[in-house]
Amino acid sequence: MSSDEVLKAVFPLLDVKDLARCMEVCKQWRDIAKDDYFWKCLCARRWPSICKRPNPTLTYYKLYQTFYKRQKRRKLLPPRLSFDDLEFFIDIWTDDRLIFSEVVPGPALLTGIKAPPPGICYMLRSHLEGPLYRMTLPIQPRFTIPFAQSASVSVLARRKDSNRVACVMNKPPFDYVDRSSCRALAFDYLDFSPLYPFISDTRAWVSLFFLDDGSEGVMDVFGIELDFCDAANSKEEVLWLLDMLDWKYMVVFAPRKAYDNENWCSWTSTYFSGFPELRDKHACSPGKYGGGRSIRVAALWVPNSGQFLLQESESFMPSFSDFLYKFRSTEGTLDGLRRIISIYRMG
Amino acid sequence: MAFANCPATSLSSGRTGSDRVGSMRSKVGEVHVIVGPMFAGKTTALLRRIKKESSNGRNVAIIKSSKDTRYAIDSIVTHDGAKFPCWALPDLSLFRQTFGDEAYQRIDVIGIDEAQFFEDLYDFCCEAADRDGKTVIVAGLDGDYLRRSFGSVLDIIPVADTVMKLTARCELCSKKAFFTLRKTQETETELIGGSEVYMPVCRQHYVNGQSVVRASATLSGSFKVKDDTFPEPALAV
Repeated sequence: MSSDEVLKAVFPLLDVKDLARCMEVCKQWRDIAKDDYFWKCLCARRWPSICKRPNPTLTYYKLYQTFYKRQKRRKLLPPRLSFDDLEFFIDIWTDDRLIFSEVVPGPALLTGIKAPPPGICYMLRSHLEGPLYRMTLPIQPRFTIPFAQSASVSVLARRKDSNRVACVMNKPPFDYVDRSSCRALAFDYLDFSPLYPFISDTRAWVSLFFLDDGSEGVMDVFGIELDFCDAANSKEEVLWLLDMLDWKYMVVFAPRKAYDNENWCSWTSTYFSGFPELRDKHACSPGKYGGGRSIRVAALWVPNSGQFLLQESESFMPSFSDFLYKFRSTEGTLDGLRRIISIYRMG
Repeated sequence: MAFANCPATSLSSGRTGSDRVGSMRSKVGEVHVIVGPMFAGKTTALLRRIKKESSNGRNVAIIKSSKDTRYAIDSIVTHDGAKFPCWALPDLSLFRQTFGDEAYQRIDVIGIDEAQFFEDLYDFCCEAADRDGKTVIVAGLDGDYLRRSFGSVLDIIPVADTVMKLTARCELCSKKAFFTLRKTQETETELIGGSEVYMPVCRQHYVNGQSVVRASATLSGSFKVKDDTFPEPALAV
């Protein structure tokens, strides 16, 4: 009896650990022990039903190797989104007065507060200088909020890669003011895309960092922090979380200066209110997904003139030029746009 | 299945067995529990769920304790300014008689805020969900400032369909806060207060609590903005 035959008689009697050790003895033993018949025997002991299928996709050796023990937590795949693709629209109100309104490019949140002002409390300094990942933004010029006044915040995010918008925070109040570490906190629950139906109850937090000399009764705000500490504590995790939000193509209302500068400036709190028929309209290109007739609209509402400034987009249907022609013929009014939309929806 | 095969007369006149099973199934209630330290947003989470149920066409009612009168006691206000009327009661057993039998029958969902103050919480939840087929959503503190069970909130976990533990933000390091720490040196057993007396902390800073208390005593206290947006319960221990 040759040594190969002896090994082939013995190997089926071994358990998985012993067979794996035998593979380390020498090349001859490894080649014999890799024979799928032995691994089929092991698989048949562990998962008897899997051997009822004549041709498994994997070899039995590979199957056992893959599933015999619980997978370790895998590293996150690289996110499909980067901070370069993002900009954040942050507005802060006290009562109903807008006191802060900025368009913040994604990378600016990563730069952080390089030089905190002198006089900040120890707890806040150690928080800002700590090793943890954070998204912070220095405020220039600084603004003040009386402790007695209620403040609220709105945060929208825009993806430059697809020109879609997601709501991160919808005017929650800064209802917890923490004077010992000089922070005011607000949170709101994130709305996720219907593609992720099992994710919910994840919050976005905004902190205002302030100086408090104790006498004036006001918060002297010098910085803002955005975070998602319920679920995401690294750059990659944050980007994955943002990618899962309910991104929409929408009509956007903007203040006068947006029209004057001909760019996307900060948005007022009245976004979307005039257009319930567009609020949840997802676009689909002609022919794709059955060629629906919903419309993607990117437009700036100019309150004082009663006019829209439309941003060109290929996804208007049946064509942007046709839409624009009809739109101009109605003198660009809100009712005119609504009429055209209803025509397309009925059509 | 045996139920469905019974003759109709043995169940109720004019109904088949399977009809009856269907109607019983629709009457089965639910209990959902939301817990966490102070300032974790339990009331907000409760109101989100209540709002969702309300927008689905279900009749809702909210109860909160009348023991803590620091905030408006006849309503709870959500993040976005929507006001929900609520019943301020010392005991849950009074709800049915205060509300009236007929009105109680019409209610589908009952929200309970500041649940740690209700001693009859367990009995009420069992009765409302098991017998009356109500959905009960309970929000309250799970532990006091010494991390001991507070009130009856933990007693209803065995009868709950879901349990959600929310976190606040640690006042000292901004990480997730699971516990509530008393800032002051008072030793009396019952000390009612908000964030001038208590603060949310992470495990590390809870364990180092005494040094934290000393440090925070030298600083000006935090405070919860005094509106009735989030009526936080006091920690009565």
